[in-house]
Amino acid sequence: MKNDGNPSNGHGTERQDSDAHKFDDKSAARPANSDAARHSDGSATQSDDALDPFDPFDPFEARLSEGFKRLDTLLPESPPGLYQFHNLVQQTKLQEKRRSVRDLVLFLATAILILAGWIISSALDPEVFIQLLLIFSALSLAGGAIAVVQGMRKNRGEISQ
Amino acid sequence: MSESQWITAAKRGDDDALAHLLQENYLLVLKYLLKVTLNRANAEDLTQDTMIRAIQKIHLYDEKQSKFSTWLITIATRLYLDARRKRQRESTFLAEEAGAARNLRWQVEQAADSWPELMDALADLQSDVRTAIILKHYYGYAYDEIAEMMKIPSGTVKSRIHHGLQILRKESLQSEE
Repeated sequence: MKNDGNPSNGHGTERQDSDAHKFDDKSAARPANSDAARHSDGSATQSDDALDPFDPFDPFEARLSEGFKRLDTLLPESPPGLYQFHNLVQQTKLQEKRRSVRDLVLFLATAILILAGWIISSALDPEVFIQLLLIFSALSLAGGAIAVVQGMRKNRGEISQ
Repeated sequence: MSESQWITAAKRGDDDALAHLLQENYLLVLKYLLKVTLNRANAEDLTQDTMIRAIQKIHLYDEKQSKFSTWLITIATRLYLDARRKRQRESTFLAEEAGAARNLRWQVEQAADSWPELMDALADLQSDVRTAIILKHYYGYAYDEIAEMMKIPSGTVKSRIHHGLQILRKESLQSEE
């Protein structure tokens, strides 16, 4: 499971021994279906990258990598114990369950309230009930139209970006 | 057990398997977020948030699309960019970020290590430019993958990285002189 920085894993090649840590991070995060993952030498990672300015022998890149490695020295060498992750998983799942139950109760309560309101108003004053029904239908249609237009604008904005 | 088996078990609801996967990838995410945020406290908070989001969304993870670590890096990237967007409204944000980078520099130097000047220039870059450079340069992702992670067009990623590296190279040359 844990990446050992072995270049034979097919995700890339360590540039030099001192870059072992860098390789660890890189190879662990390599996407399974990426172009880069298909290259075994790790050098020609993106053939389509015309602007790709990276040169493994560039002193600038070496300094940048060195800087990143210095940052890693500030962090612990090993992750917290498994029980802490186990607790986190259980707590998160418990909170999710509680949230779902709360949302369901809230939804049911609101639905019952609205339904009761409709039933009472239709029984007490059918005319007002029909008027309210028409108003709500018009509002719903208007709301739907606004949502559709906003969605179209958003899509257009994303495409033109 | 292989990672694939752990993932299958985790998606079936096995807490132990999910905890194991998260533990395996914890340091990877933390190291990534430290490079991106240049702030240890923020990196730790965001790593915790990434783990929680992964627990909540594990059923949506598709093994055929990406590696588990890549999926976590994607979550972490989006959480970071969202958090930054929210906090950008606060006027103190930039000063706070600069302070955090200075603090990191102090910590590195305390550990009897020298702090490359280039990291100061990196800290001065906009966070989305810095994130794209780190994902490309350090983690070796393709432009399309970075674009998907950051939810921006691939061309924008290319130009941001190109522009960011130009600035860094310029700073690097200046510090050499």
